[in-house]
Amino acid sequence: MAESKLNRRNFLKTGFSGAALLALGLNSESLFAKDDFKKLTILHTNDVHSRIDPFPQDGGPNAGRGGVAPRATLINKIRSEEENVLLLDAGDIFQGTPYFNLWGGELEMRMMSMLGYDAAIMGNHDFDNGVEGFVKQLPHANFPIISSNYDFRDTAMEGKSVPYKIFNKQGIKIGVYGLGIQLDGLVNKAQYGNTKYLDPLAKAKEAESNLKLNHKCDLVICLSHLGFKYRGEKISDVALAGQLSYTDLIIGGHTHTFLNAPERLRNANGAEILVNQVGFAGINLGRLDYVFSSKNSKKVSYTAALEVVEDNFKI
Amino acid sequence: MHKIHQRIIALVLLFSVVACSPKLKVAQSKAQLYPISANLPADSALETFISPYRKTLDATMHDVVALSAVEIQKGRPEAPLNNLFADAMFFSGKKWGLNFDIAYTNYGGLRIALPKGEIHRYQVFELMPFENMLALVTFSGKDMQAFFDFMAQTGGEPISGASYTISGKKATDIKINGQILDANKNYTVVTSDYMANGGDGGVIFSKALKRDDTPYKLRDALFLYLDYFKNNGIQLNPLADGRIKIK
Repeated sequence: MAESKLNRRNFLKTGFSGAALLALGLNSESLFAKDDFKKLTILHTNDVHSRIDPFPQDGGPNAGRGGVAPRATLINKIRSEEENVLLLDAGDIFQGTPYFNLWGGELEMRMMSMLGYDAAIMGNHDFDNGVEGFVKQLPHANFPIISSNYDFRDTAMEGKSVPYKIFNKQGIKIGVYGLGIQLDGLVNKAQYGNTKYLDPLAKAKEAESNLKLNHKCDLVICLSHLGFKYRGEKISDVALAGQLSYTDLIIGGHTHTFLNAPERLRNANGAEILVNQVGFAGINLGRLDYVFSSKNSKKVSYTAALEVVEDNFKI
Repeated sequence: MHKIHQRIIALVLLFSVVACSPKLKVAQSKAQLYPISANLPADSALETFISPYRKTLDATMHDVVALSAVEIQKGRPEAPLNNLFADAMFFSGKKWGLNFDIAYTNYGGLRIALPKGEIHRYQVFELMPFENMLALVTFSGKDMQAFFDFMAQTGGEPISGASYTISGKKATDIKINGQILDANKNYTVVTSDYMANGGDGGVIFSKALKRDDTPYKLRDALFLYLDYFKNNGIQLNPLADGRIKIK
């Protein structure tokens, strides 16, 4: 047992802290000095659904997996190793365990704040207690709610979300916008009230152009609750990816899709765009490391890792 | 037994990306899989925060509400969990004196499987976390056929008090309480207010001739049904009993 602990530490040291160098290629040291590069680590969750405790040890397929406190340990560990960490959530924070029935999402928001989430979007279940029910918990959130395609005028959310957010990490500018799913037919009108769903493709194009061309962001991220992929015409992350021009990464949710690695797709210009999603219930934490040139902050490489949050130590 | 260690499986993928400056031409693509074994203890600050809430929750949510002989899973066109859920709505709806012909809920609303052995109150909350109420919706015989077609098109939805066969995009051989569907008769479905409002693609509910809301929660319909088994010392053993067939 002691040995396997040691092995893990070794891996974390060489595998994660050294990921930047690894990403540049094992034979690249001769070409580039370490100081020429900046690294950005993006961590993400989706559809955590009030899963505060790990799944119980009841013999089910997810027994012992997930849990906010083990996730915090993992996140803190990564933060101690990496300078530039961005922690994001792609919606459906609420609903799924009695913690939500009893406290209405207060714990979820407070714990995400303790974990240092940088931003989140609203999923359909975040409307379950009505727009008012979500707004009621916002004082417990010290991170912004991003929404580029919900018009919240004449709702309790009016003025309480931002259409995008720009983060600056060591001079790397990261623009994040957010897309919500069509509410009609999925969420009852009584819950979403006067919230208007605007075309996600049009709003995404608008947001990515603004972030890239006006704000000169080095990396553009879309937080999406549209869902990974559908049969038919329904807009999804995969369908969206092929029609965008400046978005580097779509972090998705809604369909509870377990991806072991990000889907590598081509955008409207044939350039690479990534789509990632990490299941549900906080079973996994997604991780992407981007390496940028220090000189011009251009992205030169990335790595991705999937962190399985599992907690078997509970008695 | 508990394993002290967790396993973290990290897939580290290394890809080359087009360089933006001639100086930075990195053209290397490499994928590697790193399996790692690890101990991931709970963060103490978060544990301290959760602890009082967990105690409150445990005090009200950990009682055993049923015993099951099997793990109860959901599935299509029908499965033990689908049938248990819809049968509970049917059973409790009748107990509460509601008038209806069949019970229906949406498949997507079944949120977790129930374990074999002891089923605790919190697990029923996780199966049915929503505060949805029972609602009564009356269809014409013609729209009742359309309602069954809607269920056939999704691949099968939880129902009780009826049987049918999925034939492509149509429902055939529909029987309601053993009687063949009569196109000239009206039928009443007990469902959730969420579906009655047209949730989860339920456009068909806009065709309702009549809709009545009730003061009863779907979750309470489950509890009342489970109480019946518990009070009579019967273990749950729900079956896929052939109420929905595929042609």
